[in-house]
Amino acid sequence: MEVIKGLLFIILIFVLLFLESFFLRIFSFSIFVIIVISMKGRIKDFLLYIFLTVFSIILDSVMHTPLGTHLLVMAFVVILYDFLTVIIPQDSKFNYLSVFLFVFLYYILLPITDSVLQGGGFPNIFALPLLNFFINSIVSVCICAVINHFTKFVRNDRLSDRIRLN
Amino acid sequence: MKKKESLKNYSNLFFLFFAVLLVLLGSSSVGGSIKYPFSYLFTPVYVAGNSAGKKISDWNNALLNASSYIEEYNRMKDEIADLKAKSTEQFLNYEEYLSLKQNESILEKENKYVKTKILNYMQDGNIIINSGKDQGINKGDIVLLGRVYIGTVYDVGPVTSLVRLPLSKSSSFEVIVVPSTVDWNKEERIDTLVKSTGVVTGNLDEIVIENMGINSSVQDGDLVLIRDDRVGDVFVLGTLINVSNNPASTYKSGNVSGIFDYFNILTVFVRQNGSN
Repeated sequence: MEVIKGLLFIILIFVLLFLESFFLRIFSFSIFVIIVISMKGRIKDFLLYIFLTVFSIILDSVMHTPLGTHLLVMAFVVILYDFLTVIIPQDSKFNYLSVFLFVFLYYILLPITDSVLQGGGFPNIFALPLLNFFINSIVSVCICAVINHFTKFVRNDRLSDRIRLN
Repeated sequence: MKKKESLKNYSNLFFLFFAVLLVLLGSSSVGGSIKYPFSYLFTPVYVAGNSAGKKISDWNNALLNASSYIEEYNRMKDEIADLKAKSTEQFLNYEEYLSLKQNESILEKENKYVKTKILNYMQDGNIIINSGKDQGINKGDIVLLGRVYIGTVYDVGPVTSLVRLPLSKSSSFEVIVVPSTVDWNKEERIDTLVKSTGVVTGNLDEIVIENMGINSSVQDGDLVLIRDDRVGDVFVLGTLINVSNNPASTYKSGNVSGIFDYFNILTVFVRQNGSN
């Protein structure tokens, strides 16, 4: 069973990388960030961190960004998201505000971190395509909402003996 | 149990620490060794996804700009007719043809060029090309189009490379400014033509030139040539625009307009002379 899970993980990485490069090229849109925010809280943190580390290194390798750029940005926004869930509960509808901030910050911090780590200094934020980031973040929140809606129908094995009210 | 819970609370911080550690590791010599196997394994998938995305993007752009393409097509028909007439005249000038041929043979003897396609444009003023170590590209190789400088190879993967354009904030070069009326067919020492020296730096959407002599006679339209030890040879960067006229300043500054729009170039040539 573990071997099958491992194989599925490797296939998932390949498919996800294809989709990531495909959508980045068309709309500068990241699937990776949606997958991470959707998996957050649904799988064990340890597994999420393994996925984050592996996929971040792959993205750094193929996109020629300094090693650790994607991981550093992700680690920062994950911490910020966890901090926000203290103020805005994850079950609340306002949680989508946290999701929006998570995605929007990811889009902004990625080119900034890349520039800083490459020795190019702090870039002019207003030179970045902020409107594009904003629209991408809104679309990402909508996709997360759809994923949330559908995952409600999928029952967790560990909680299968409990009655769900909503 | 309590200990496990407290560890879970701090797991994010451990993760951030790990990320910082990875960044430090990446900046050391080990970084390349970590990236190489991932790059070797996953770059074909990335390139395939990128190419598929480009096809969709091109069709999307073509549909959105259909009317402008028709206008452009009609205009280009006229331009092609003009160019054909001009090229016939030029070929008649046999001496010029011979000198060009000789020049080309000299260039080929000295350096090897690799023809390569541009895969992707990055937001930070870099491009990714579809040639890497397997094609003999090394870090520091110069990317050209004719005698026009396009960029320098900054990072090399197995089949792709990152090229830093002059637009990148990380790029800066020593340049010289010469009059635009220079006749390149005459054999003249370039030093006798120099109006001023200067330094160019990238600023993502523009190339800034600074430190030009306050008493120099530089003006809009002058040619800016790269003459930097890291590049090795003299290459054309662009034309000078927006020259400052501030009497309080100790130097003149301005902008450089590239010969080509970097984001419209499809094919470039890499001159193989860098080191690993």
